[in-house]
Amino acid sequence: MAGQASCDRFRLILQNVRDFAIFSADLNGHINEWNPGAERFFGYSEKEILGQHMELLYVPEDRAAGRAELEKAQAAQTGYSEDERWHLKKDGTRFFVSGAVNAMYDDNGGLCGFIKVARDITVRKRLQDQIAASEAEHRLILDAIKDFAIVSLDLKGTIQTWNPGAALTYGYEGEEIVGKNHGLLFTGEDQTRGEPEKTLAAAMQDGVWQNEQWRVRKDGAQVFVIDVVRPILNEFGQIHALLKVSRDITLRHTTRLKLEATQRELEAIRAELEQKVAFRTAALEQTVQSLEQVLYHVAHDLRAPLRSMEGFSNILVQKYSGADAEAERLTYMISEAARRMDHLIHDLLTYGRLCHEEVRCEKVALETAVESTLMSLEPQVRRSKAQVDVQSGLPAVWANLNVLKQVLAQLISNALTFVTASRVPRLKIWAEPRQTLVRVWIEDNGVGISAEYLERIFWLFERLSQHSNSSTGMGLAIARKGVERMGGKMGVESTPAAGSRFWIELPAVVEEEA
Amino acid sequence: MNPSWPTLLHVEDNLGDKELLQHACNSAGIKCNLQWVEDGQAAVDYLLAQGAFSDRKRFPLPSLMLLDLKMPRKNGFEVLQWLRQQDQLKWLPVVVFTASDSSKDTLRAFQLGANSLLVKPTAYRDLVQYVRELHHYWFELNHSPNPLSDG
Repeated sequence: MAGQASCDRFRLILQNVRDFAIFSADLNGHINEWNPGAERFFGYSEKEILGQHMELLYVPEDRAAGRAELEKAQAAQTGYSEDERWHLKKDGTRFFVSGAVNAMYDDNGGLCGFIKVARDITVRKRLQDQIAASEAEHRLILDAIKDFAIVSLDLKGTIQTWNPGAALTYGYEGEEIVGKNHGLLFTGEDQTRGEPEKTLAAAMQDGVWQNEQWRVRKDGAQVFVIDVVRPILNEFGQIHALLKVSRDITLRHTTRLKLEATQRELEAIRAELEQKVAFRTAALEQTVQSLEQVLYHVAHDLRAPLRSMEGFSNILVQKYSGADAEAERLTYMISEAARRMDHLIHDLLTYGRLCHEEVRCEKVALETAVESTLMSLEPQVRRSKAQVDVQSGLPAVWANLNVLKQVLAQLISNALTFVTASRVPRLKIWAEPRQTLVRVWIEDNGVGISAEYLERIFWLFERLSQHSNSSTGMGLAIARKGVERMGGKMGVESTPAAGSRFWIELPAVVEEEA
Repeated sequence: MNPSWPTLLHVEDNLGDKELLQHACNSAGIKCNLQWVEDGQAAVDYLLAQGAFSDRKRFPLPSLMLLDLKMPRKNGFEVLQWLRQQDQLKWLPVVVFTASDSSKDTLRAFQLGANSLLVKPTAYRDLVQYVRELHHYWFELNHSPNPLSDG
């Protein structure tokens, strides 16, 4: 009766196990026991399935391969057969099962049937498949990456995986380097310094280690890499491996080194040039200084004999010639020659000074400059009976008053000198603003200048006219130099026999709001 | 030499300029005793009545000095500097008479105590005019101290 009781208890358990399909079959494979778990998984009721061959539950390909028979044979032989496989539900759908077939024996120890215990692990199976697929995909990606060396290391630095990028970067194939320590990629010097260990320790401590360093390829060549090492954590948050991603930036690095070397070279050249310039400037300054000395001596010494020529010839005439007109004329010629030479020296000095002396500019009222220039030329204006017409309200300009007056005097004096004898000289002076400049016009009705001479007249020692016997040929050169030293320009428009219009352009003064 | 006329000391190394000034003074007909020395050192000797100039009757103390700048031995600047340190002589009016119109020289001359500066004219006519003006201003209009009569 105890057997009956245990049999009932067993039946009770069977009826209540819902997460496992449990069924039994006779030696031929016909089902003779079917629990509710089995009904739940396979979809067949006990009534429907009892007496059916268990092959019914196998997928067609397993049925064709005789899997049910094999399973039974295995269980019959060893008492047990376990596997994971797809099974078929009543509605034809499949589900994945982890199952075991046990042999059943009668009281005499003879094989009397089989019992199968199965569990639906479809969800787990799907997850595993997904993981496998994703791993395969990752592997594919790692293999496809050629620009980065991606290497996994254990905590001691032993190389675990080695992607094709690593092979390209370091020259080792995976099979010859996996299992070796990553230290062999470091330079001897870095190895001595313990760099391979330090990088791993730093990555483990700080969560990441990054640096740019030289490494050594299999062929001994050096390669400059940017290295990033990160720890890989397991599901418990513990570091169980390290991932090292490196990129070969040798080209970039050597280019940068070359660039830096070139920059240093350039810097050296620049410094050298600067020194040369400083040296030459000093030499030039000395030259200018000695030129100034020469000018000084010209001024001082060259004029002394002139004074004597002029003075003594005058005294000679006064004292001894009396009313001799010819002697007086000759004396006059000597005086004139001396006077001209004195002019020449004066103009040379003026030009020389304008060239090398500092010209300080400030706000200058053009009107005042024109007025005071005209005043200083008053005798000449009066002699020539000229009409001078000055526009009222001339603007202020940025200039040096003395130089500006010198320039204006030259232009006005020229306008009064180079006139047709029969004509009354008429002078017009006006100004017009031109953006940041002021253009001052000085118009005359004089002899004019033909086109081919328009530029020549500004050259040193150029003289065009029979009028200019007394001129040194430097006046306009001096005027232009003066304008240029004030940051301006000078030019002329002219119609021969009708007159000329000289212009000078000087920086305008921007009036500040009070 | 007219003892009632003032003395003008001309300090000039250029013999041409020296003689031109003599002629110009004659032409201008000015009333003064013109004395001449050939350089700055001679000017110092003259003013101190030293050496060849020890006879004050022949070489009276001048009322005005016409001083060239560029001269051998002692130049005009040195004479000015020296003169303005002499207690007995520093009152003496000095007109610098030079060929240089450089602003640097002009500034320096005035800084060292020049009373006036004239640039030597090229035209003799102008020189005569200058002498006339000088005489008119310094000997007729201007009041100078007279250390001989005053002390």
